[in-house]
Amino acid sequence: MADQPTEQQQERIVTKRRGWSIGKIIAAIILILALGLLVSYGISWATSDIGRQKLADFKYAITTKYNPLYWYGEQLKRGQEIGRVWETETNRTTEKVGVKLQDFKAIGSRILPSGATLAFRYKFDVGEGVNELKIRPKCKVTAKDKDGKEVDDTIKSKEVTPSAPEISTDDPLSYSNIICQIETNELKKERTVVAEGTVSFTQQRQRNSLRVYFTKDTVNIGDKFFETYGIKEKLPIKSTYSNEPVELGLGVSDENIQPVVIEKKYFPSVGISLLNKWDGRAKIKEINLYLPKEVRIDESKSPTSTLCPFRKPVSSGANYIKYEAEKSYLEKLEEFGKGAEETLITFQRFFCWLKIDESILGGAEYMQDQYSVDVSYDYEFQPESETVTLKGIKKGGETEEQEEQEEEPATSETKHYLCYNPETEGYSCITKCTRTCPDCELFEYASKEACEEDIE
Amino acid sequence: MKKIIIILIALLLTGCVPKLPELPWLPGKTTTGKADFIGGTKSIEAEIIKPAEGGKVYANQPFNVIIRVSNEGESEAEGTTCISGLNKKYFPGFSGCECQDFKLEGKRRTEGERLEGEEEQLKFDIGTIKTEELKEFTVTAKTRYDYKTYGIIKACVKKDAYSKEGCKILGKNMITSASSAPLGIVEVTEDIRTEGETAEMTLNIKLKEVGKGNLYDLDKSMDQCGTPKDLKRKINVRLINAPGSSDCGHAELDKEGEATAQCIVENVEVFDESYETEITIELKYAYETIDSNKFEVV
Repeated sequence: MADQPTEQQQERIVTKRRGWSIGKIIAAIILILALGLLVSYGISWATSDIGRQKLADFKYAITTKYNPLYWYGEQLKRGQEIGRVWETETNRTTEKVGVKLQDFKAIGSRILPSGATLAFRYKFDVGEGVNELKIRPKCKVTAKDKDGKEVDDTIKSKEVTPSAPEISTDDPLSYSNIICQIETNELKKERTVVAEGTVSFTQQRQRNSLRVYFTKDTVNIGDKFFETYGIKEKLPIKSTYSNEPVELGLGVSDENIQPVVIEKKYFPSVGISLLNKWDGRAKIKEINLYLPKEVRIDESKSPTSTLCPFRKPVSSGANYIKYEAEKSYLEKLEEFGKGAEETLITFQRFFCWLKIDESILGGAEYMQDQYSVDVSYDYEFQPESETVTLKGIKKGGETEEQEEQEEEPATSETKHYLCYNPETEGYSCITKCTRTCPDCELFEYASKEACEEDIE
Repeated sequence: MKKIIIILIALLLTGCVPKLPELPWLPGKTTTGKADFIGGTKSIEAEIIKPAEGGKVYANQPFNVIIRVSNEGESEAEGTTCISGLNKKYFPGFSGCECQDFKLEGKRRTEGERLEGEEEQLKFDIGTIKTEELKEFTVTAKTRYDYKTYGIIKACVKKDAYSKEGCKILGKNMITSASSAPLGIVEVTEDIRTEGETAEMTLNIKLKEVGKGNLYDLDKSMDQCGTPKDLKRKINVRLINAPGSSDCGHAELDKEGEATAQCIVENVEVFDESYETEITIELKYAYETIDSNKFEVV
């Protein structure tokens, strides 16, 4: 009995519990209201022009640049390249190479009245050693209505100036003022204009060579050969990369071990790799391989295919023979790129078995010659886009919304809403809430008459 | 007595002093008879001085290759330098292999004066370079020459090889001096067997290749750019001033660059007392060195 609380004590406990519960409930209500307010603000911002654009930018950023999966994919691609491409020597002093389409931004406001002239600037990041690169800037423009449907009533004309600029590292003026200018039509309705800047160019006959040593010496192979003959070569011997969009690698075998031994038990070969180094995608158009006249592709081991796309020699100079890649096989090859989501590969690789005539040695113990290759390809940078909102223009003092209502005559079933216009400090009856009257639905009327009555 | 003195003075005045017999020339010996080689591992140094390693040469201008050949060792050398490696597509005036001979005295001492080895520059005119895509080339010079290594040893001759009395039959310390050459005498061991008043001395000579090149075949032509596969790395061994009749034959270098030669000296006079005798070992062989320079055509 001594443990049982008295009646007074019980009452105090109940009161205390009740008091605590009420406080908590009030705090929860305040929190919910605050959250609701925040959500409301968030929705308002997200549906506004600026909000929509910011969200679009953010979405692009997290799906590409800052996406860990995307980063992992890139690293995976790089891992796949190792051992599959032939490395090159480079004389570059900086990591910043090539050209990148960094941005494609609207000049000025991104919310403009319809009929305005829009201008978008191509912003490039130009690395070392770019010299008179002839680019083709293009801009693709699509206009959408409020519901996101594509419409073709907005764009009057578009033009890129200059149309065929030549970019050089040492001349920032050559790439700092490339603009896509778009003339728009005057419209009563709002439009969203998405402009996508694309830049492409054609790389013609990018050439690279590999110094090749030939010998019949089967005793001194690899490093030992160079040691024996006192030849100061940095091994493995590599071709040189000069910061072009595609790194053109050449090799004499998978491990690229030189010299090439001309003996029955050795099987000479040539390998070509194209590794995309800039921020875009490449599509091969043409490849030519030049071999010393004593060296031929072994057609029995390497018939024309996507692995060895070269057909019979097309021309034979005094010292070198030219092999041309069959276009039909090149067409089968995918684009290869860097940073493109849909692109799976970053390189292309070719490999052919060779037959070498001993006469290349000219009676000497070793001879030095070269394998060369030239490649032509189309290159396109990662496109960049920008969104601009074109507001419907006012006509005769009426807002776009009022005009919209005129266009859609009210029926007996149409509901009307009361709208307060802060500019005129007057009220009007509308059939659809607009940005100027976002909360008009609070004052709903079954007919226009009822609404107008209320104004009076 | 006076007469004798007068005759002697007269003889002196007329210069008719009886001459002492001349000593035969022995390698490494000074005029006082002291063994004195400079020593080392150097012999013929053949270096491409033009085009220089990593250097530039100009297209459409006369191009030549210059090899400086100098004798840094202590033997006379006779040899050939051949150049190869230049591609005829780019060097149309080059035959593929071109050779030139040389003959050079080595370092030596004459009457207390030390003379440097001789040197020569071999010039190969190649003609003009055809400019095409390939810009970097390598030229290789192979220099082959006959060369000799001399070593002086002190051998002990005694009736009883195991006797503690008199001189001692030593191991490698027998070598007192050796000449500068690419093939070194590492160790000489002596064994002696007495038969009556004469003895048979056996010298076991260990040799090692110490130069920067490779032993070449004495019987193969030096006038070629390639190195034949069936090279016999033979060394002819001879004793110059042995105390009896000697026979050494030849030795052949193994894959590790080592060889052992054996010389047998017969009819060596022995006495009751032991004595030391200086013997000069001569090794004769052919040697090959290679030098290559990479250069750029501009």
